[in-house]
Amino acid sequence: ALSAGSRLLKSYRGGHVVIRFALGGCTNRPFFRIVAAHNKRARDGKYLEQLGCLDPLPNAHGEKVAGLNLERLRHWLGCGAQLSRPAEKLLGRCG
Amino acid sequence: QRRVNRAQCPLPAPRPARPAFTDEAVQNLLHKMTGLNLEKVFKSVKKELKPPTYKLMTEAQLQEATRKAIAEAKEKLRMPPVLDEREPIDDVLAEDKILEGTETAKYVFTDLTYSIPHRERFIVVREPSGVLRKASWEERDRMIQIFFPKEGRRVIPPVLFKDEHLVTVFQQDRHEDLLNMCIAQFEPDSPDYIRVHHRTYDDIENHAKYDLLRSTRHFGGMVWYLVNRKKTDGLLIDMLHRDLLDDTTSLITLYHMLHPECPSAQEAKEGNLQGVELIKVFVKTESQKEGYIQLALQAYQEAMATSTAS
Repeated sequence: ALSAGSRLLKSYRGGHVVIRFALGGCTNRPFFRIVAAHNKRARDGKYLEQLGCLDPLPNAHGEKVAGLNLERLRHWLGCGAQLSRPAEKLLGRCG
Repeated sequence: QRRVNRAQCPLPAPRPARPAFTDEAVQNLLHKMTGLNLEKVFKSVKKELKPPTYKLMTEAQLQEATRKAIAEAKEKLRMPPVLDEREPIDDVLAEDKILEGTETAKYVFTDLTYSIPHRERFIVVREPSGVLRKASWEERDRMIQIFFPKEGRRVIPPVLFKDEHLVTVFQQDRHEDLLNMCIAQFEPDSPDYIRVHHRTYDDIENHAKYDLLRSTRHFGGMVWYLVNRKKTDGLLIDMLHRDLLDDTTSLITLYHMLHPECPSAQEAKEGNLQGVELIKVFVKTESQKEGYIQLALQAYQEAMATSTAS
């Protein structure tokens, strides 16, 4: 039992934590989740924690809705996570 | 979560030490006037059909059960807070001309930290012109409903709360359901909430349908509204028709507490009047429908005389 479980736990050699967007949603309907994950993981694969979301299409009131869990973001940035370029742009826009 | 309550002051002249909606004395009076009709409070909400359960109890157990039912009814009858209208938020945090023209739509950022109360959340809007401003109250309500949905609320307020549709609801006599829906949908200090409530109270007062709200938790709010605007005549007549002398006296005491400078209040304080005398003084000085109230008072007194005689 222990050997089967430990093979599922992937441990990296020299990977680091990044905060980036994971794409989800249907055809012609993107939806990003702001996620803290290891660098080497697939874009939509297993992540460490979801820190928020972004809806890139404007809604009925002409707004692009984004949510950010600031407290956990601070925690991961304190642990030394890096940001991807679009994630940096988003955080820069929100001030 | 309870919010800070402030006094509702629609009159222009400021007065010193006005009693607030949440004062103990005021709340006690309003609670007495609301009445405790257990049948109406625990009226069955539409649920699945179940055959009624019968329990066999001794006298003591029955009294215990009645006491618990009264306590639960008191909890259900707790009045929703009456607050002033909230002021629109208009705070610009930053202006970045560099970002102008880079985007086409507004970005709304919501802070999703779980342990922050909704009032203190940061909800910020970045306009296409680069201005970073705090979100207005409607935007805040919508975002909070999207990310932290509350039961009974819709993201966009239902069309029912528009004025032309309120009229239809009033014709069907469903004020109580409307007010419950309004409480679930809006914050207590939003202008929509206040507008719907005032419209409902006005309609009830125009058609003298006070009994619809009598044993519900909206009664206190309604009485507060009427007393602040001095439109208490219809309510007085209704109470006298139902032979509720205590309620009439408490209504007049509340009136005096809120408008201490009116002549009937001063006379009452001097003479320390009670009961029927208080009503007569009040009727002479304050009311517009004197004739009706005198008639109702006479009818009540005759009814009392016959009932004590027989």
